[in-house]
Amino acid sequence: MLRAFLPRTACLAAALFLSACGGSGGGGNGAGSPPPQTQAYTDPTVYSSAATASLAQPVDTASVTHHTLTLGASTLHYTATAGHMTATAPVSGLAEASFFYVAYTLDGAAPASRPVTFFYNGGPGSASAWLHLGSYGPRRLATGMPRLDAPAPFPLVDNAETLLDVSDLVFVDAVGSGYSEAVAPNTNRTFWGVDADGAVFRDFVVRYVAANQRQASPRFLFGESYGTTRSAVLADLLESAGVEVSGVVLQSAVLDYNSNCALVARITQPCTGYVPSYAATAAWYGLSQPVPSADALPGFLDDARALARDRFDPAVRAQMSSGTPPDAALLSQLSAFTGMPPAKWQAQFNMTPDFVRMNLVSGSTLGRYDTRVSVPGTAPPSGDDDPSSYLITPSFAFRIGEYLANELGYTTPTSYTLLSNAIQTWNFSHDGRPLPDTVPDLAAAFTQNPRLKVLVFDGYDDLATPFFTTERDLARLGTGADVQVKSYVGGHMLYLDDAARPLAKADLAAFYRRALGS
Amino acid sequence: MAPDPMARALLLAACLALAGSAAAAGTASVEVPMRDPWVPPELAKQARVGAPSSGAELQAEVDRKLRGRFEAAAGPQGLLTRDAARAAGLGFIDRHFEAIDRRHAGRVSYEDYRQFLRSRAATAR
Repeated sequence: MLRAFLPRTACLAAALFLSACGGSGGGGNGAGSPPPQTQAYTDPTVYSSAATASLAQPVDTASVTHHTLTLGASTLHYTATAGHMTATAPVSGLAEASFFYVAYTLDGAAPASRPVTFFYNGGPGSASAWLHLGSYGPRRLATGMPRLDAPAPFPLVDNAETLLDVSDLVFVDAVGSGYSEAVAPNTNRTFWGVDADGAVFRDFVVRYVAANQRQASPRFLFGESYGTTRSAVLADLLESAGVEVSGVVLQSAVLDYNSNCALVARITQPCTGYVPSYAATAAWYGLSQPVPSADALPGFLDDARALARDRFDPAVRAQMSSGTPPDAALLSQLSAFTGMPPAKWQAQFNMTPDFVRMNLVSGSTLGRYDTRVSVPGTAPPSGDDDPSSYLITPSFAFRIGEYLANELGYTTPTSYTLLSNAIQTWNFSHDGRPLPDTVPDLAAAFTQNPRLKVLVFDGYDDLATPFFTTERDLARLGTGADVQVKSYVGGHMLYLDDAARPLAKADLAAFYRRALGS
Repeated sequence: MAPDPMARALLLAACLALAGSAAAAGTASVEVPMRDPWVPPELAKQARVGAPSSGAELQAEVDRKLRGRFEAAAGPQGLLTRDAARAAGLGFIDRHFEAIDRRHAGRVSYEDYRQFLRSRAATAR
């Protein structure tokens, strides 16, 4: 690690000197000498995220390390496995892709009563490092979100909110991200589509369950953003393959790309699902009228939902179909809830999230993933210009390889692909539509497994996958489906928030208890 | 004075590039900005126009999905044996075959399968 260590030290010194922001070492678990079972692995394979790349041979090797995590009065002893496992096609048995994964398993637990949860981010093309190092793993990056004064690169700390007390955790990278790569004659691009990606994830889960004798373990899926699209497809495919899923957690869901007005040519789609998120953002900045207290926020947002559904939605449709202008009373109501002046509402009645991000707070640009993050200046509206994302990305990029090498004993000559360019050539078509609607997939999973339970996590301050859009998408399932929605003050990655994460962890633990009937 | 976050991000990015030039391991590559969810602009124009499915229409979509899989695995008569289900990767039907095959015919129709799903949903409630 000497080569990597020198420039890092220099950089941290420079960072301290230039911007007075501290850096804290995250390497080493400080737990003393590792137990004898520990097996480091230096992987000689060079992995590629290129569309046309593939491995000549499947890779099925991993490091094994043992760890201890003290949470208050209790201590968790766990094993971390970091490396590759190859998904094989169900009928032919041919190798499809070697998935990079990190599994955390509690030592001494009985597999039959011990759930296993598969985590993945979205993109598509994103590796799972965000959930892995940000959410409910045993170690997490202390980002301090939504504050911007946390030392960077963020330090890696023990995670008091780890889900490891409830479930074994498997963080897995999509093909062409992290260190996951297709096996010839496939290429990474073979799996860059809604259906092919869902199927190869199914085959990974099937392989993981078989290889680790976890057939009796209840299985859960935890996806974020595009990862929720994947979860809907994957849940249906797993049920169909006879691999029952006990629970699905949708973190910041986008089940139907067609219903999110910022993802479609906006003339076709009212931004109704965003209006309550604009209200939540205005409330955070004290720009709504009234400014609700924390206790009054849910009621305030109920009123914002009603305004969006009953008044805004029909008015936008009337404007789209016949050019009818909105009435002044509606413009002033919208203004009171969202803090945007009536004239702005008049100018852009079907108001888009980028417009709000650039115009709500004078002289500032708000985050897309977390509108509570703001930076000076107003750049042209662009989905690429998200301070709540670009301010955290360097730390995740910096820490993941270091963590894998220093704490989990897995080293490779390849750099980890945190975000691949798969999104640019991804085959989004699904069930005959150019843009995926995966609500029918989730419905099919419920049809095959009526005991399936779904938990949805939303951040009020997320302008990427707005909570009201998600609620409307899920309402299509009807009352028969066991779907629970939990919303918090926070962004798209609300698990980064030190106030939201403990609340979400408690709700997560209750969800697992219910899904397991315990 | 609070450090300008943009300047900090740029500094950090520069440091990471420096670290990356010295040793690939330990630094991750970022080929595109994080913008999930996002679709290319030409796809955005092809979004569904009109209301999404719900109720009976949504159930019909589910039915088409399940029927499509069943019929692809079944023979021309639309009947599926346990071996054929297994060979097609339809583990769910394989696992529940005896319960689906109420007539003990060794072959099941899509209607048998649908009946089984319905009765299962009824008992779960």
